Amino acid sequence: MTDLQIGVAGFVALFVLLFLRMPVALAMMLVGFVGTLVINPAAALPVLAGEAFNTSTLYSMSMLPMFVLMGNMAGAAGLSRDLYDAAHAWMGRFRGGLASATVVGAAGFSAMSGSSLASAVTMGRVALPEMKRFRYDDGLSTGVIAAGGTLGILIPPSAGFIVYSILTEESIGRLFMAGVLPGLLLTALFVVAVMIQTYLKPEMAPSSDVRVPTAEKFATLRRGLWIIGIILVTIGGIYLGVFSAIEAAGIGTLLTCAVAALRRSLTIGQVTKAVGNTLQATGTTFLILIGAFVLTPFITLSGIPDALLSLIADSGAGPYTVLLLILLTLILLGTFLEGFAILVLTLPFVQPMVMQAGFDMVWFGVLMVIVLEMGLISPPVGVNVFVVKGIAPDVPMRTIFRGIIPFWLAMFVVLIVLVVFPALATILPDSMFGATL
Amino acid sequence: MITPVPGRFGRIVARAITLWACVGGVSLLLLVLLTGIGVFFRYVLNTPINGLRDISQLLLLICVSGAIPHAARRGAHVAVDLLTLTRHPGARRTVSILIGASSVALLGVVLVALARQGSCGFRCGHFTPDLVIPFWPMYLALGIGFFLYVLQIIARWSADEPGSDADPQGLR
Repeated sequence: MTDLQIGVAGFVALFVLLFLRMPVALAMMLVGFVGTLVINPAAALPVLAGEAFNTSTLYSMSMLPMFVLMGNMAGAAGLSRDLYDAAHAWMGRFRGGLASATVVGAAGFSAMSGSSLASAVTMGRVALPEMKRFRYDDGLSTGVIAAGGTLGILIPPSAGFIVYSILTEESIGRLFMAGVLPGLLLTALFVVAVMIQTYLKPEMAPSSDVRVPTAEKFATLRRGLWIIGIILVTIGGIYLGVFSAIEAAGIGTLLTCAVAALRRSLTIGQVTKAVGNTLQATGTTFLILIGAFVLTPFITLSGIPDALLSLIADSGAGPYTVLLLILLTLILLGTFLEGFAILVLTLPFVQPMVMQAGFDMVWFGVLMVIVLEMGLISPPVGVNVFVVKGIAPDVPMRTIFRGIIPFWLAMFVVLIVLVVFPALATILPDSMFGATL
Repeated sequence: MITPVPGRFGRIVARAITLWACVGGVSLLLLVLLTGIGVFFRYVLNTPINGLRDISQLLLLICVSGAIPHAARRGAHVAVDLLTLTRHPGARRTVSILIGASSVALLGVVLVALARQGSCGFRCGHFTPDLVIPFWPMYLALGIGFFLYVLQIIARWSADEPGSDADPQGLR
């Protein structure tokens, strides 16, 4: 057997293991280890131990648990509630205003949390009862929460960008900044999606006649200033070059804890729960990364990436054809694979192709994260959908998926806009770090 | 969400994982604190602390080691839920045992690899760059995490009734 054949056999085995429900991380580790053992036996054990150890001590990855903890602490301390209340006070009066407020609240919370799950859970618990109270359509209310939560991996700090930066060795500062404008655009398009739906079917979001006095509106905004201040310090600090992303994660978490302590809104129980949830996300992400780093040497040794590059060169496909094929494949994978799994499984193949096509890897990172977002709400295994189902057990899955469609389309629109106008992603990082060559 | 594993062995494993997760959680909080202290010393006092990165890496590793079995206990490790292979309980159990056994065997190899690599010590250059902390305690700490993960799989396995819907892999 040639190395290439071994590589292909390894991939068939990987997919068989995945379909038999072996955890993605262990399946990658197993195939990576056995594959390396076959091609280069002496390297197999050192790769296994070395990658497990190196990944677990990767200094740049320390920001991931810290940013997740920051979001969990903010959620536990009720800071996310303040954001939602402020958005609710200002937008709630309009038709579909509660759903729009949910999107804006989720976007704000996403700027504190790197996790889409944390965003969906936190905003879901806050916003869903309100939308139920005002008899919003189940599809709209659950769809907007599931979709709004996905902003967590696009708007910095983003776990998706952190993992992408580790795997591609791109600057995390650049990636964070590249996510800002597309994140804001997507937020705006989600609001537009709500407006269009409620314009076409007014019964989806009965108008709330409750008028919030101007003084109350400003009071809610003042309460929301804490969270806005923390976001400005952390993300602004990275943008201005005051902090590294790791330092921003530490400072942001400490500030969140300090604000929560000042407001006496954090109990020991809540801290324990926030830390427990953070550990859960940390364990999941790091194990997947270890699996990916064990698999990658096998992929390289097998020569699959080189073979793919030759195949593309021989086919005469242009760069945008390659990009289109990659994006369509990722969207398809998103319907049955979890987002991080797609990221770590496909990047070793996709990165050389994207680089050979001459595309900016930071820009491509934004495209990839948006595709992952689409995967988070795509049937049948959209993780955010299951989270929302957990919060709203009485709403059938079919209704939730139906409610998601307009937001999925909004993501698709952003994807197209980004392909046509790459500057939307690159302008901020270029203004901060200078343009890439 | 934690699905309790019945039986004495399951309870012991659960306690051990919780205890190790507590250590991981404390490490995480210390990591946050240390990062904040580092920023304060660097920007406010203008005296960067030497070796901060070494300690941060150590704390991160302990956090990860505590997190992996904790996530397994909560069924959080990502698996693809596409195919319901068969409604036949026997076939389902066979597949589960196969995957569980493969997982245990793989993690066993990981433990052996960590022990071998960790025992190499100074002659392999296994120490942190600034404070020259040897890596072997870190390898040991990581090994504890993986070992607890193995125990979690076995505990879930041993508690699984034939044909039940429980997942012997202990990961979902």
